[in-house]
Amino acid sequence: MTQNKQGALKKPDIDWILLAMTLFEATAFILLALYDGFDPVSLILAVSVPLILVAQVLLLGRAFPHMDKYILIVANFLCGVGLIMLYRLAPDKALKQLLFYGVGVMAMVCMTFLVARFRHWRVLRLPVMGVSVLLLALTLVIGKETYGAKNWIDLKFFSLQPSEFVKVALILCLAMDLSEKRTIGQLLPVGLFAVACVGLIVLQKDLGAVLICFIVCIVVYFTATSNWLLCLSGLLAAAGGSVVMYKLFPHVQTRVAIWQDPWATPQDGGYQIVQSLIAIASGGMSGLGLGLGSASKSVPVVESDFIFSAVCEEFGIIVGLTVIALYVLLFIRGMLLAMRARSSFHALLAVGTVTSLALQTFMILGGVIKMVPLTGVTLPFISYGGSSMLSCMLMLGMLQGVSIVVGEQDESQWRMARRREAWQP
Amino acid sequence: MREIKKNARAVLCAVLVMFIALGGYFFYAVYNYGSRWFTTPYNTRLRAAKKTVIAGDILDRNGAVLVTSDADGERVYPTDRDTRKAVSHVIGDANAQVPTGAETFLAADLLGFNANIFDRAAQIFQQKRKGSDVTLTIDAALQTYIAEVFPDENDGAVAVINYETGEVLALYSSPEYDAKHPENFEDLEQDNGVLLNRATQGRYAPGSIFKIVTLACALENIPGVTERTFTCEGTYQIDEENRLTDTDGEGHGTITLKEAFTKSCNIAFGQLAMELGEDKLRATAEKMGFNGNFLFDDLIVYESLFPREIPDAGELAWTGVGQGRLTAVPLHMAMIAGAVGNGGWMVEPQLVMTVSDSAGGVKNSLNTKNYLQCFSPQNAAILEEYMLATVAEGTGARAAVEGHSIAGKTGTAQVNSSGGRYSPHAWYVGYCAEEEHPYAIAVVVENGGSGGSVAGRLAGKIMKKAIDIVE
Amino acid sequence: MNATAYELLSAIAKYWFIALALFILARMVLSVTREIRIERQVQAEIGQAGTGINATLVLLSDEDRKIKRGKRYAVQGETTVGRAGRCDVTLRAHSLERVHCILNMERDGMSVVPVGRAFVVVDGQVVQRRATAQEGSEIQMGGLVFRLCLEETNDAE
Repeated sequence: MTQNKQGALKKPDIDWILLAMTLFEATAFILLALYDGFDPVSLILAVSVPLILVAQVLLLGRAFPHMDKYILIVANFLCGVGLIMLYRLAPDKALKQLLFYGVGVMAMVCMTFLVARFRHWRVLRLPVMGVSVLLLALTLVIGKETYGAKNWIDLKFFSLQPSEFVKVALILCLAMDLSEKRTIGQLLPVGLFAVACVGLIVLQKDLGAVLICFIVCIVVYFTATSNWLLCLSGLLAAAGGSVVMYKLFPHVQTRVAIWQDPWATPQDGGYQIVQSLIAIASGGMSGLGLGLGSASKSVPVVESDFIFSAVCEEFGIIVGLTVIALYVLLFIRGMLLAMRARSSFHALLAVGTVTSLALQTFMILGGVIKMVPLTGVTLPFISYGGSSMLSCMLMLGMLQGVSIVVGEQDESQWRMARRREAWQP
Repeated sequence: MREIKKNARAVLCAVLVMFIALGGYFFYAVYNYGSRWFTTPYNTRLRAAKKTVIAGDILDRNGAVLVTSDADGERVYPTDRDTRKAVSHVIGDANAQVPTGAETFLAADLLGFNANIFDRAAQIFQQKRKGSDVTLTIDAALQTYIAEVFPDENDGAVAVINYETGEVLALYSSPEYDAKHPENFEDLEQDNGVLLNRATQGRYAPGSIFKIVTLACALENIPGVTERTFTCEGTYQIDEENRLTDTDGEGHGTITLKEAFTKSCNIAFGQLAMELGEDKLRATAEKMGFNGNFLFDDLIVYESLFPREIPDAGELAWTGVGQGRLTAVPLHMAMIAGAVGNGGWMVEPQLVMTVSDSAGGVKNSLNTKNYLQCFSPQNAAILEEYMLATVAEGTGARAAVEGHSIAGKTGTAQVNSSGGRYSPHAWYVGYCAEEEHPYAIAVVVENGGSGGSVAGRLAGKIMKKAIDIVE
Repeated sequence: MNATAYELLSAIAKYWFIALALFILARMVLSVTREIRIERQVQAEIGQAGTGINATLVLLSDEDRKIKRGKRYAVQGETTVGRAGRCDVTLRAHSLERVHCILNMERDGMSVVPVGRAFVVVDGQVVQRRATAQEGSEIQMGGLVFRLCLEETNDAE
């Protein structure tokens, strides 16, 4: 479907978008270089971050012409915005994040290759399941507790959050098994795996991850089987479970109370959300200007969970809404891939990935603007965090793999169609 | 595959719906609540800005300085103690202890957060930045006069507004505090809620002034109600347990609806309320902003409350005459009275007249907005006739101002407390029905006694002063 | 650099960032809608020319004799066959399960995967988990027997 002498199909070019993104990232880092004296590191970032973006489009675009460029550049731009914000909030973390970003891009390429070219998925099934459950169990034993959830494994130089990777594994296994097997008996292994994952994450008290895994399972299962009854009863069971949790655990009750009225406890329980709302309101429509906000001082965990508040304060609500719109574009493209796919494995892979990313984005954005109760999940691509960045990049790789498979099938069939037309005038 | 495709489309739709809701909520919340979030006392930016920015002045409508800053950025209040105290609740304080005051709620302007590029460019060459000056619609002289005539021994509130433009001319709350001496705020607050602005946040039982709402509801829902007569014997047995009584206990005899209103007959209005029923009464009250959510640009006003449910006929009847679990906020009541004079439309109250930044740019911030249509023009005319008659020959006689046509309604709200029976709150709401003087007023004197003699007399004096001095 | 000067610079730059962000979004929406239109067009052309069809099943016999012999069914990529309306190929035959089997094009022929305990025979062998059918294979599902005709493959250029 590249330009073809027989056809008039010309793909829209993205040069202008790339240019604008490059300018955005470069000027932002140059501006930050002038903040408080002169900072050469920022200038290095001003070159390297756009370079990673452009290099990916050029190199990967050549290697895989059917890669979805829109998904690629949107995700990379979001990473860029995250890096800008992080460099402004905590420069040392931004440099670490740059490393994660680089590793993430490589992971994405591997995943893309795997999904597009690897055919023996069944071999991977058991090892992936085993490692995932093992990691989660290990976290329970040697995990580190932060903000009430025990979901980190400390590896000295790098903290691992297994639940992030388990999401990827879960989507892969679900897509693999549901694409071939339809009866309850055949689905028992993957069902047990899902239950084990969700159960172990519940034990870690990582509410956000539980919700994401659970809903991803239900959505993928529903997409594969159209089994309304089971999915609805699953959701009802989940609702019942949350009510029981609400009644049993006082910390869940506090969360809900804080969500309903954070202003009642502005100094303790509601502090995060109150400060987040104040930060957003301080920015107004056009923002205070990069480097002029004070979210870094007032909002706790601003570099991961609450990074969107900082973006809104310094870049303004218009840019904040643009970021939301870019996420939506990414999800639309991803879901359209699922609708074009010719095999259910690829379709389910795309559906699972998009559901997971969309849900995560919704939960944290809704949380920081007090639309839904806050669950401590990261904002995909933007938030600081190695595990989060890697898992998002792996998911991006899965989408790209699907895009390549679908694109190649489309192209060969389209060429044939054109040839037939030429033969039979 | 067809099936999966269809389901994927459904999932996509669900995702889209989620994010449209997210974006919509985000925009809605920031648009409506943004300035409120920003001006909370918990905003560290304001505290930080006070160190680097010299806050702008607050002036009254005639240019009298209510607060200014000295060269070091310290806030300086007028030397005249009476003025200082009279406007205390409107101004607030420098430490955000009175979070609803202009010092805190208008901080974005005062500290120059809303300044534009050119303003910022000009500030580069200045040592210390200066915020914008804010001119309020308040008339300090009127406010000082109110403080002077308001009974010293009683707490209470007075609100005076221009019901055509929405300008708030006076917002007085007693007891006052002295912003010059913030060190004893804590003791004051523990004593008797001195820091509360009763004119915008005080929730009082409305008493008979609520009959305006009951009457409006009857006019809307009962055709020909104006022709009706009522028999009043001083008391009325609703059922075995509940009894409706008139204030003085002697009956009014057979009276028309108009007489019932001007004489403030509880029996007639209690019966009307029972006939109308809880739902219709609530609907009318909510049309006037009861149980609403006031999100005005310039000031924080609590909404009055109509009970979510009324359990029995007795409470319904008492609600119709303004007792029961009803609460009313003085400024809101002035806005309702003003709506009668304004052909049925309640306008949004405005506290800020102009904002002038340090570079000399002046932004006019008055923009009259119709907020709610409380009454149809016909019903507003009937209400006006009745309220004029109340002042001319009824309970509100003492609120009359010679040579001017004043409409009003008095209220005497019974308050029961665990400590025994106190004197009732004295209420008066009304307005001047003249185009040159479109002023509406609400007065509440806590435990002041009879509405007509205490609040009405006070309102008459204040209205006369307002007509004389406000331009 | 002077703090106030930076402040001014940043306050100006914020409009630049807003403009860029809005530009990116607008161009993005434009390009994506155009891309989607092209993809639709490609799908339509493939559908018209029938090049998306990888194989055809020809009905040889029906136990119930309800469906006419010789009727053809197209297999496009992954295809579900069964009694239910949501299947890609719906056959109203009592001997079939709701979703009876999944056919999929692979490099070495067409894979046949029965769903649950559905009865499928390929070239005389009862299929337990998966079988691969070739050009001319006889496939029996419930009481229906088909012959498989593979179409010209995509690689034959």
